[in-house]
Amino acid sequence: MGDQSPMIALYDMEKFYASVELIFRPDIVNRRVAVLSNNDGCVVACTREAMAVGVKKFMPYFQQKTLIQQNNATVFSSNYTLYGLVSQRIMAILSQEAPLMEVYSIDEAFLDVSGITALKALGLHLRARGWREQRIPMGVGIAPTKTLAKLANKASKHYAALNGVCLLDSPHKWQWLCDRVPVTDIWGIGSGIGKRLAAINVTTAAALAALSQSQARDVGLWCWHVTLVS
Amino acid sequence: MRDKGILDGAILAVDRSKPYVDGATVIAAIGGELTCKTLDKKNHRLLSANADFQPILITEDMDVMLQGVVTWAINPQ
Repeated sequence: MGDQSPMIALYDMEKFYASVELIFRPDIVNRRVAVLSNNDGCVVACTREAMAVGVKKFMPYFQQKTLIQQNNATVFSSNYTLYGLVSQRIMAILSQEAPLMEVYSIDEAFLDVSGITALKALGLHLRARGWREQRIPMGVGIAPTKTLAKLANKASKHYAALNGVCLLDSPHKWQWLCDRVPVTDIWGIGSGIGKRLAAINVTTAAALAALSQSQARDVGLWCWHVTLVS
Repeated sequence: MRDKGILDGAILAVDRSKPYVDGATVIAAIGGELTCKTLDKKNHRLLSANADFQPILITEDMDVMLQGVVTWAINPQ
């Protein structure tokens, strides 16, 4: 069976609702596109191109309407039935190639990839299948814990050289990343705690990992279970 | 695509997971516009199974993206 230390892969479908709408609209690929929530209340997804002109996720649509129209962005009302179906298809692809999968949300899934040696290749392969078969771009983060897999996933979108797959399979790799990742990018660290951590000069993931339990309790991290490395 | 039995207004079933073999009936997006053609890999062309339409030579500066392989067609009566 080879190496049995745990490895978790997180697959995240990029700009998911917008990507689904683009499946049927090749004419607006690489353009400004936004998807609205129920009753067209908020923008819930938008393409990179829409973001670049200032369209913001989770902000009310009526506040952004002028900006959206001025920039000729295409707007879609949400179609959750469709997004659910495309999500199921992606999940079906992922489940074919890993023994254990946890569907975490409509656009994210954790895969247990412990014992697999060619992890980068698996990541690239599943990502390519998702794109080819469903036209959904994905980011992949692979690491020993779910929290690190989340961080790796974020990095996969940030560093183009990774080709969408960030594999953290040795301590020097995750330490390299933890030194650079803002503490508020960590799963479970919101802006509130982020401010209190900044006050005691904890701004990176690495600095948080170095905190003692009592220091963590002082800033309000009562349930101290954010284990970066087991 | 008349000579392949695909008439104007036909409904097509497209399989994205099938490989793009030479001679396959494919859906391609040319400049964002969807079209149904026969794939001619050797000559880098998209052919129409209808003499009324000229083959399209695919050059590097063209925005062409294959979308999938046509597996079924339902024609209007």
